[in-house]
Amino acid sequence: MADLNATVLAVTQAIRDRSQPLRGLYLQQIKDAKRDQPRREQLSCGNLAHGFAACGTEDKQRLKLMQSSNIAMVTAYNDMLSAHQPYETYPNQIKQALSAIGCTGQIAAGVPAMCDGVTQGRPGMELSLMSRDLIAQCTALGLSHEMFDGLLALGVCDKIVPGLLMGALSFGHLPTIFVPAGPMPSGLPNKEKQRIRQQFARGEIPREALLEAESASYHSAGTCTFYGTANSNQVMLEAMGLQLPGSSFINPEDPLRQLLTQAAAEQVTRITALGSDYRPIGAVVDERSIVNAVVALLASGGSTPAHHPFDRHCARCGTHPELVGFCRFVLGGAAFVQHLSQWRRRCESFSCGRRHRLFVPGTLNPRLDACRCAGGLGCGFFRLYPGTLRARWRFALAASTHRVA
Amino acid sequence: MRWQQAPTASLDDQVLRAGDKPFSAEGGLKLLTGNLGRSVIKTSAVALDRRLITGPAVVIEHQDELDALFAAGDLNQDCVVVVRGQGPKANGMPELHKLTPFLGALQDQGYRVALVTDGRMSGASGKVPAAIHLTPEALDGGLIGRIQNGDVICLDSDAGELTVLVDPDQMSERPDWQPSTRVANSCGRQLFNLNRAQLNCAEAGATYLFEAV
Repeated sequence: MADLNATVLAVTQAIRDRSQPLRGLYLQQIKDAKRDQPRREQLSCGNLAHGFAACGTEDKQRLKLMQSSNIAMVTAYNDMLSAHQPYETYPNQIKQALSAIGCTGQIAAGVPAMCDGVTQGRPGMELSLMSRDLIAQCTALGLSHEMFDGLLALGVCDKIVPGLLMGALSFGHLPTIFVPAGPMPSGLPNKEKQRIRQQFARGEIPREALLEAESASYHSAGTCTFYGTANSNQVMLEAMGLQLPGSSFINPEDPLRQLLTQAAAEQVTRITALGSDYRPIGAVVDERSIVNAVVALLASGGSTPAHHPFDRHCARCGTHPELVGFCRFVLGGAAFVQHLSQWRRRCESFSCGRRHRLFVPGTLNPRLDACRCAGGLGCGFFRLYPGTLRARWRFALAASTHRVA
Repeated sequence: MRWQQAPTASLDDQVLRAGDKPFSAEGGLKLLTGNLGRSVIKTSAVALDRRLITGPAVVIEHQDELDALFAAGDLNQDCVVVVRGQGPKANGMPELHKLTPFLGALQDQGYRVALVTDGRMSGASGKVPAAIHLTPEALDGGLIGRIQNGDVICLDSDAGELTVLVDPDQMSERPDWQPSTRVANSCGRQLFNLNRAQLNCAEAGATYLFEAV
């Protein structure tokens, strides 16, 4: 660990120290919950029969046989969020991908999701922050059926990712992978949109002109094109090791998107307790994972609400939240976390083109150069090997290669 | 589908750069402390000559009020707009994007403006310096509740300080903040009244799921 930045190390250690004994208790819970058999094996015959009553014949057989994993999907699909609209077809894609490898998948819960863009300036916006907590609770309701060996979380936007994450962490013994749907292709550039909004505010243009501009900005499925909270969430999830590397910014209509969804489904079955590479989310999300995410966020100039959830994530997995707050502020002020990205300001067209797919690895890789494997579970940054077919995951702590002056 | 090596050098250094020549030596987020409490400011899009703003407070209790002030020309001055009663317990801490076009327009006209709020701004914080998530919120007895129009406020993001320049004795003699009597019983908000009352402070995450540690 000699090459890791001293401030990063110190803050991580401080969080680790102050998180005792809560963290220890939480990890013990996960250990106690581990089973070599599929989770559904504990259920009575009556419970289980209810659980697969509506499944097809093949799935019923697999669920009865107790040899393969059953993966939960918790989906935040609705027609209100452009970023979630693609999820309409994901559950079936995922079920097919799981079936092809002898496993099963079931939607454990549909969770609510609010579009902050639709409620902006309206009374509904007062519910937005609380929706996150409700999503966590709904996720827990879904997982409480105890039928599942892993979770695929389908959610992208501001409140949904933290809500899903908190819910998943309350079932910390299950591996979880987030499945993104990708960004909206570029529309009207940000500067132009802001210019027109200001013109309207000064009364210089009519409402129709404003609506045209807004429609040109938010024009199809995918995350809104600026580097706001939804896209910041994506970067953080990859940095935390909860989302396939490089999967964040492939557009919804790109053929790669379906392949990535399949890959996520396959990957989660590899990291359940049934196999030899068990990676429960409660162990993956530790103080290092959280520091990774904060560094990635700060280095890329990400969105402010994205800072909010960390306190709660931490409480959820027994990591001291105040310390994370401290961590984020110290790192925010620390000279070493250099602002490497002018994503918002300089990039007029956010999400088109191959080069933008490389945003996450491009941001994270310079930090990896000096990293050594810190052990531990779960996917951290992705160490890429040319030409290989299998994704190899290795945990690494985010760090700058440069010392604080 | 195959994973392959990502480029080690940026393909466009106007967008993404390595650590040897960063856009800014610091990350884009700062903690502000001072007599008003603790808040956060996103500095990455704020011009360097706008990191220190000192000006008289213009106090509003709801973002809709800014519309009228702007239209009447009452904001044509250097000022620090204070929007309070927007914290978690007050009204669920909504995002306040209605403020941005007005403040942006004032800034473009050459005025030195800033925003202070116990509420949220989200990804649209942008080019106007904004101290947000101020804790304690007005409803929790935060000093933001006692600011009056004309009080001088200093927002210094380089030093990490947010201060209201009023004598503490004078401040303590002022009445407590009274929340508006506006009842939020429409649009489903009434179903969340008990949850809202349970929300912990912004610094602890503004959640009803856990207590602040």
